[in-house]
Amino acid sequence: MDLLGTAIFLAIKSLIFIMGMFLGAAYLTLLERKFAGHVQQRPGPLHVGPHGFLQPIADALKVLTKEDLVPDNVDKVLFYLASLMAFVPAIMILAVVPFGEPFTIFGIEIQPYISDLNVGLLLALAFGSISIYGVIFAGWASNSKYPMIGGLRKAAVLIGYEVALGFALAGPIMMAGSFSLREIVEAQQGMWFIIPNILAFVVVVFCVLAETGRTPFDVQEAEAELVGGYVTEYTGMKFGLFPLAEWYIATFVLSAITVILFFGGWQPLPLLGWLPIPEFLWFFIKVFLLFMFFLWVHWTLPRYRVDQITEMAWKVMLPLALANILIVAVWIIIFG
Amino acid sequence: MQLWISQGEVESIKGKFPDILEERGDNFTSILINKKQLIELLTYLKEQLNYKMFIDFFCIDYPLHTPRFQGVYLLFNPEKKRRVAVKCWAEDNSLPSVINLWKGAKWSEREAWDMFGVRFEGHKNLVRMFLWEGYQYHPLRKDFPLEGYKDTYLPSLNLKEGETPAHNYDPYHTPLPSMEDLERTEKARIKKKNQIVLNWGPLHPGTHGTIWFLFDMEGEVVQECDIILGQLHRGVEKIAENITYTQFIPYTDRMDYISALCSQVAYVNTVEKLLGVEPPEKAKWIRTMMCELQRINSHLLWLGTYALDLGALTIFLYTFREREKIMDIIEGIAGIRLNSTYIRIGGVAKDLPEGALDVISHFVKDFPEKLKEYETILTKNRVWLKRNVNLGVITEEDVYSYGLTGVVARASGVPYDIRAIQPTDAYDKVDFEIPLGKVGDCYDRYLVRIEEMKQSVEIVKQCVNKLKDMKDDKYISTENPYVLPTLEEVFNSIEAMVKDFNLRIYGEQAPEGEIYLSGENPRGELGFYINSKGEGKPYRLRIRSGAFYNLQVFTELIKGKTVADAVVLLGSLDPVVGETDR
Amino acid sequence: MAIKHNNGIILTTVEEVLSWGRRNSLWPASVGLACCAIEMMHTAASRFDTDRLGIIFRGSPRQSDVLIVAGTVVNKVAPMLKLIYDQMPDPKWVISMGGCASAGGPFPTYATLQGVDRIIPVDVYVPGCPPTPQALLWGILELQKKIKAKKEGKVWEEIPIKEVPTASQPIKTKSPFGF
Repeated sequence: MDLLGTAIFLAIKSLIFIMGMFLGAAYLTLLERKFAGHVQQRPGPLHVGPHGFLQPIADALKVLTKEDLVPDNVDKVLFYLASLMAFVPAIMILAVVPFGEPFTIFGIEIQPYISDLNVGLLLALAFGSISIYGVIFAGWASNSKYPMIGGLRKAAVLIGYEVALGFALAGPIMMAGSFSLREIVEAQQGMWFIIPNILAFVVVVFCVLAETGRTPFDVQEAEAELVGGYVTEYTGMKFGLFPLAEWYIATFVLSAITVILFFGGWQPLPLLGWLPIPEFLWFFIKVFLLFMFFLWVHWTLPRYRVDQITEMAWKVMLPLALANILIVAVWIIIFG
Repeated sequence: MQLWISQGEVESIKGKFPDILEERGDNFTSILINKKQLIELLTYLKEQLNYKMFIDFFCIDYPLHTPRFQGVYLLFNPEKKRRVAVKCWAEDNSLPSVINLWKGAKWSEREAWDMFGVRFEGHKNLVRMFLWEGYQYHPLRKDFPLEGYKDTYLPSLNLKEGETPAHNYDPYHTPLPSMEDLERTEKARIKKKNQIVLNWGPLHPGTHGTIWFLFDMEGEVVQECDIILGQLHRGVEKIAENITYTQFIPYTDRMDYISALCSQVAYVNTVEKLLGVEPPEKAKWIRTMMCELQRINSHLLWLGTYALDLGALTIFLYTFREREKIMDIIEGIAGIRLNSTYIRIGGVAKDLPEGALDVISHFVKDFPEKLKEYETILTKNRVWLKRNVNLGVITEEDVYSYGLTGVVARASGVPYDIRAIQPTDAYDKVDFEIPLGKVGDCYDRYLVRIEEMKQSVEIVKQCVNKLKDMKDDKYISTENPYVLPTLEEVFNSIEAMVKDFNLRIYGEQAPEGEIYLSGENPRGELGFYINSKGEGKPYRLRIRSGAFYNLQVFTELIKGKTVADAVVLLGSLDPVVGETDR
Repeated sequence: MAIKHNNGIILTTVEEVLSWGRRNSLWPASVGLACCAIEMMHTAASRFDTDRLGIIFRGSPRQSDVLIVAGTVVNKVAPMLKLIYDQMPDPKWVISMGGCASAGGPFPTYATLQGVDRIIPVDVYVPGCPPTPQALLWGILELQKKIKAKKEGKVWEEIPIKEVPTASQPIKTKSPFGF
């Protein structure tokens, strides 16, 4: 009975997480559009609902009820699979991301995470890599030239940055001595890991930008070159899942992991610990700030060419990540 | 100021080619030669007399003459700053191709084949320029009607049974191409030699309108490229032959719709020179000022879309913020935002409204700061540099061979600026510098355009200062018999009314003759060749479009580059389809 | 413009909500053909900002709901424009922007399509040469009204057109020349 209870409890919790992420991602679109609007000296969505607040709902309704068009000559299985492949792994990373320490309400202990795996970070990396298949499948299955080029570009970019990302994450793991994200946060009690791992942080920022396809690395869907990139042939909700997964959920989740690894997770900001702010709110504030940073970069910079991006991955990012490992190793030897 | 070949040089040509016939007019000087010696003469002009810059080639149709078609070559000597026109009758409906002398002739010869059905011996791939393979007619021939032949039943899909159509409506229409026709057009341009042939365009967000690129690609590297134009070919040159000189002014707007005022000024100057009309001093200053405002406007649009193509979306919206201000100024003065039709033969349509100069001087005061803002984001940006520097280098040789003009020529170090070579309006009275590039890459073209905007601001400032003293001057010289009277005059005097009626119905009865005159458009030299037979409408009006010739070099620049570079190269050449296709 | 003839069909709230979603999230395909494209860009830019109404331009027709035909449609581009229209998923609408797209505009020539409604059905005609951004916004708002009226089962009455003589229905009077 105990097993069944745990299963039901976990299922409910997962549902809350997934629904929350869905709704959150929908409103992240509004956030991005509003942010972009204000950067560009225009109001952004304004007239749909109060101050444009219902815009994501309208978009979702429209996208969901659009004709589900599948072109001739596409590889139908892969065509359908691709959008799921992009979306599901991105949301599954949430399973290992903790939002705070367990706390007790009305005598029930609530853990603000689904599971505290001791290989949490590895799992997150693995899921992150799977979602890339979605993009490549989409490019291949569409049987069209622009998606094909878009998918190939994304593949080329990600091969480089996945390697660099893996090496960059080695630093915090070495310092914490654990793959569990919760334990990594706990290991940052005295000092955030950004201090010795500054190089790794730089690498991770670039990798997040590249993996989530934001400028200056949005080569896979560069509109001026490739119309819509790998999503060119997609319609309705099958299309909607891609930007939702890539631009919002992935960016959000990767920001969360970055905060956990380098900025002490849900620990309060230095000197502001006395503020009566709950732990998970601290966490969200940090994630929000990092997310906004990515948006800011996205709406400011021009984009690189794909060969310049891969060149940077192998010639700059990988050596930086390796150097970081060396620095951290020396740090551990000196300070223990 | 005349720019035609000197008498001495013509004499020296006569020594070598005794058969030539010189036609010297006030505004046009041409040399007529027979078909056999044409290539020889052109080679002599290019190599001995240094007429090495290719300006234009076009045909004229004389249905009653045998041979029927005459080809006209316009060449330019960049050292002596002189032009020459070479004419040659197309015996057997064909002419020798000059693509071995000037690469820029490739497209204009295709155009002549498309429009007149003149063949070119030795042309590598003589296909339709604007219309599609399988189109039966050659539209610019005199016996082809303006409306074409309506033989396809194509009724409105919106019209329900028993409903009255909203406009004068003919259910029959000129023929439309089928998808097979378009496929044939595509196949005629390029043969697939590598992995894929990518259709970039015609309805694509990155192609600045409706240009249709064909890339034969190996991986993402373009090996071979050809461009299909004509997705906006509306028959402007044909229209010009059927309407009066004044009626054609709105069409010049709709050609290069981003720099409407510059096109108007270039056209009206040509017509005025032909008619012998001298606009009042105030109109000249207004024209110069409006031209420069339009140049800033055009370059801003270029900057915005260029940055957008490279991924920097925000710059696009910032430049449009400034563009809105200029659009408001133009709307306040001319009444219309975009295609303003403000310039008239003999002056301008309306006087400057009260306060216009204040608004403009405010704008030019604020604008340099905004320009600095854009430069902060872009000029030293590493990503920007990586995408632009050393990409698409155009040499001086290319400039002459392809007939490149405007910023594209100046970025390669060729000081070819019509404003300085053949100043019209008040350009000889204002101070400005001509920025030149050193390398000729995309980054240089960017820098030159930015610098040109700064120069334009200076010119506008000078114009505003000058115009402040001319408050009550005349803005249109209506005393001239060719100039339309103002509305006020029409309502108050019967003579003006009769004159207005005559000019509007019968057109300006221009004296017989030929003229070629050009203006410095933001996109390059916009030249108008008018052949008048003494009627109220031109016998032949040829538009030498800067963008048409500038775009041609793209096929050469893209070789060995990727699709990502294609947007940068295309953006830096800055074509406008309305002008290339006409 | 007016909404008339309510046929009294009782419609479910669901459809009302769907219609609300559709008309508030009209994504146009960014098909710029000529001069009107510049004004379309101005409509999307900061001052007029179509994003206020939930309108964002999409590059691919597969993801668009409304086709704004901005500019002169010439014969050569007409089949491709039709293809773009066919590639759009239902429900889809068409705004014909400017005189050229609506009726050939100032180009009654051999090369120009005399009205885009000969190849694709048009929902809203926006007059102007080119229409100002305000005019285009008006067209978009009209389209929203039209979508609303349709979902409510009402008949959308267009601006009544005065009877004008046309080639197919000329005014039946004798010409001054007596034939």
